[in-house]
Amino acid sequence: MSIEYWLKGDIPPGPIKATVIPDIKKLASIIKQHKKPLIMIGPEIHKLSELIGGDILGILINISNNIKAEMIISDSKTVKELDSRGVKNYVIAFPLEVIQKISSNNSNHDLAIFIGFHYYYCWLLLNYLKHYAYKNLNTMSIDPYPQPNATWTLPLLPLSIWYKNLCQLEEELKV
Amino acid sequence: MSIPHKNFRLKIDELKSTLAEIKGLDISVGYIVEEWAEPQGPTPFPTITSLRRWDHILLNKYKPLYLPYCDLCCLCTYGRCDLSRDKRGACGLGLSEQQSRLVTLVCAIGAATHASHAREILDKLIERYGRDAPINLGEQVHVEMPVTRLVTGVKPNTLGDLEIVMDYVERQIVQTLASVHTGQEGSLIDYESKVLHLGMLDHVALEIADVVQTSLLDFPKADPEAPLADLGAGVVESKKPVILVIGHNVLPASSIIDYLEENGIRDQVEVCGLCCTAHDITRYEKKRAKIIGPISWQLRFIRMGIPDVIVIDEQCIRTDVIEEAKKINAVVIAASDKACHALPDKTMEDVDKIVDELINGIIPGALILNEERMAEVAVKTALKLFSLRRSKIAGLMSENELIEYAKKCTGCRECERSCPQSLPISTAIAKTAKGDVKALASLYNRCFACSRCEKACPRDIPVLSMILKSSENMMREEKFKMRVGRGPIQDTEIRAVGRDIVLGTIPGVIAFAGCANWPDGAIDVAEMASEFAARRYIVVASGCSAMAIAMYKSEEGKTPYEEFSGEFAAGGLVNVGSCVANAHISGATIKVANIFARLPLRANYAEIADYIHNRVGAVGIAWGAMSQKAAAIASGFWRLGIPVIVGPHGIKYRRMLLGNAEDENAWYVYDAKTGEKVYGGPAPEHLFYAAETKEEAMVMAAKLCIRPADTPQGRAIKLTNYISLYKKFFGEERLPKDIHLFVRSEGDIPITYRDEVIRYLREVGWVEKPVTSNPTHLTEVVEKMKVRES
Repeated sequence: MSIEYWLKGDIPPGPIKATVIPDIKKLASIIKQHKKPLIMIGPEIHKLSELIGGDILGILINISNNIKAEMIISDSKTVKELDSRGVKNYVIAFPLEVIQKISSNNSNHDLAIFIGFHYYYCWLLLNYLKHYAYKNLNTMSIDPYPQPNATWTLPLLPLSIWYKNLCQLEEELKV
Repeated sequence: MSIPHKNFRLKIDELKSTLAEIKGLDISVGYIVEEWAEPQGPTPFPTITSLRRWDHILLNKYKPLYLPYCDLCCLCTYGRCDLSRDKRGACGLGLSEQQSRLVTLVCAIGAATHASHAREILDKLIERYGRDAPINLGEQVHVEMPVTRLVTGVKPNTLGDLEIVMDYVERQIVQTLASVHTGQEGSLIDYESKVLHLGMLDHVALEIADVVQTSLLDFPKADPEAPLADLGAGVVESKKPVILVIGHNVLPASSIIDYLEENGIRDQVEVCGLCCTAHDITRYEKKRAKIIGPISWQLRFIRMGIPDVIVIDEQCIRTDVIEEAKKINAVVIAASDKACHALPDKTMEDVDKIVDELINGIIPGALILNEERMAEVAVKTALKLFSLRRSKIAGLMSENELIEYAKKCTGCRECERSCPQSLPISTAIAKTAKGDVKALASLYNRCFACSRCEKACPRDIPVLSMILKSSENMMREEKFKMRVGRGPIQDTEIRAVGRDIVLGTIPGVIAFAGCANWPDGAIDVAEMASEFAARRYIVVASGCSAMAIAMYKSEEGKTPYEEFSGEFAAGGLVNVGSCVANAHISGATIKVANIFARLPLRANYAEIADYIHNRVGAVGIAWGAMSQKAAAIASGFWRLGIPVIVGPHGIKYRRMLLGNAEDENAWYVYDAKTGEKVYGGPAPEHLFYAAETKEEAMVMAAKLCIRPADTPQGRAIKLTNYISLYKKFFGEERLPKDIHLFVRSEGDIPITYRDEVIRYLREVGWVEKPVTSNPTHLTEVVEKMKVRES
């Protein structure tokens, strides 16, 4: 039960639910096993940064560079922030259209990492992918709240510990 | 055809005999329908399958994308059945079919709710004014009920004429709801077709409800200069007894106003409302009644301790309203059998006795199913209770209590996990414990006061009340102006703008509808509406969205209703009214096809919908859509081929209807003149779409206004808006990556961005595409055109 943190706040929709990965080294190892990951970054990333007082976007930029993952952005604030930092490896696209594309067997992406979306919105995007994506696609949530519809998710932890974990993940993924 | 009692129908164009002379008689058993000069169209009183072919055309273009909220089915005793991935339930149903079945159920609930509302208003007003009471929407509206005429083929003149229409709607809802039973429909596409059928029925019900009340209760009749009403928690005079009305059915609230007027005591009592009843009391009483705000202001206002009597009618009422009223020593009067709340039925009891029981706390409230008696009880109770309870009720907690509660918090974050908005409550409470309430107050605009946080708190901290206390001054300063719902659009307005809408030189009609489940507060709706009105779109609003638009002031201190005209014209901001007034929005698009393009209206659904879909650049934005009724309203727009965008919470409707721009084969239309298949482009690209941010919604809305029939000038104007909104949000140096899909010829390229667009078109290897000014999805339209040409 100790890893079923979501039972306190959310109820999984059915028997297939995410594996909770509390060990960041293991999480990094899972990411490294994928050849064509992408990172979906939602608009709530700024509120998380404000709450934690840390540069979460900076961490994600480093992770995306290190694992050669394209970042998918849909909100104007993040676009402006990335432009101001001279970041190029991102695409502006809307989440529903992205999941429609990456779920097809024409997509060569094998891992979609989600962070910074409205919780419920991400919950349903992930459940679509869980049921309808081509079987080679795995999903991962690295938000501070567990996402039961992802293939892998982080546990529910105090924000400060979550932030430390994210920093550790950045380190683990350094080339 | 499914006219109730259809077994017998007699239609006589002209008959002369020694006894009588008969002209234009059309009789079905039980009903007499006046003949209408326009010839009967192909689908009068359509059944579930009458428009199935049109539905399948739409659903082939916009394929359902399912986002299951639950992977199981628990609807029958075969189950529970796990439908995950490719599994099927014991009845044989798969996950996608189950989702479409649930969407059907949701829309059936919504349509039934509106139909029930319409039936109640119709029956009561027939009882009051008689069957021959005329439908009267003012001198500027001659095509009075376009949705009803289009769907049923009936041209109603009196309330009595609407009974056959109402019977039809009820019967069809029951038929369609039955398909959800175990072992009925097995195809997701046919379930989706039923969703569209329910949506169409829903709009007929909406139209009946609003036209009847507008005609008989003297609401503004298509008046672009309808008066401005006061809106906001701060506009209520709390030094008077306050009656708060909540819900959607105006009859109980209007009876309260009548009682006050008849007894010469209107000045002594404040009457204010929440949700659509609030809309309609301001339409009834014009400037005097007051609106507190949208549905999510219920707990906010009640917990302020202001209302003395709370009158609930139907729909969207908090089901814990009795408990909440008890906390402030207010009483609740239920006025509808649909929401009895375990209150004792006092309909037949002596008024003064009921008042005594309420005042003395013997009963927490009463169910009174007679409006006049209910009104008398409400007013007498408010007058007596006011002085008794005001000395006892302090309303919100004190500042010291706020800090003490904050100190009790252990930071477990269960409130945050329960918060539908995932608000950072625990961080804000931690700051409050140290005396800084700003973080807590900053949650106010994003919180829609559901109080789930309080139920989740293991230490019984009244989290919502704390948020309200921290933002008390903000609430008391909520003072806005909203233009009263004007009802339908004038025929002359349609004539004036129809051409520009169809050619695309008015870039679109954007309709803000739906509930108050916004991700970031009401201001987003106001900002979106103002942006589009400033860009010379026609902006239309209804329901809680119309209220949200009022809850914003410019630097000059004006609300959008004071800034923009109330005309249905480019740059206008039109509040049609409560959620039943949404029928005037679909009705306006139908009237464009009928009045401007002169297409026959009578029972001619598919042709009109095909016209709207291919030519009328209308888009709905239901940014806070929450209810089953909102789903039914949306599906009524879908069947007319009108796209709807919802906010992020709208993804919980568990099904989107998305086009695939990259699938070229999906976007061919017929040229109605030649019958040849022509590439029409991904226009509109999606039919139902949940955007996560308002920027995404605005860019998407501008794009979804594009139609295959746009003239080059019109397309260039639409693309100018699409590109400029995209640049505004995503960078001046960028173009939307799909812009080449919408440029058919060089004439479509916006002058402002010409060089940039041409450069991009070269980069992506764009080639000119043939354009048709007569796109259609229907072969019968091609045939008709051939006949007309020959």
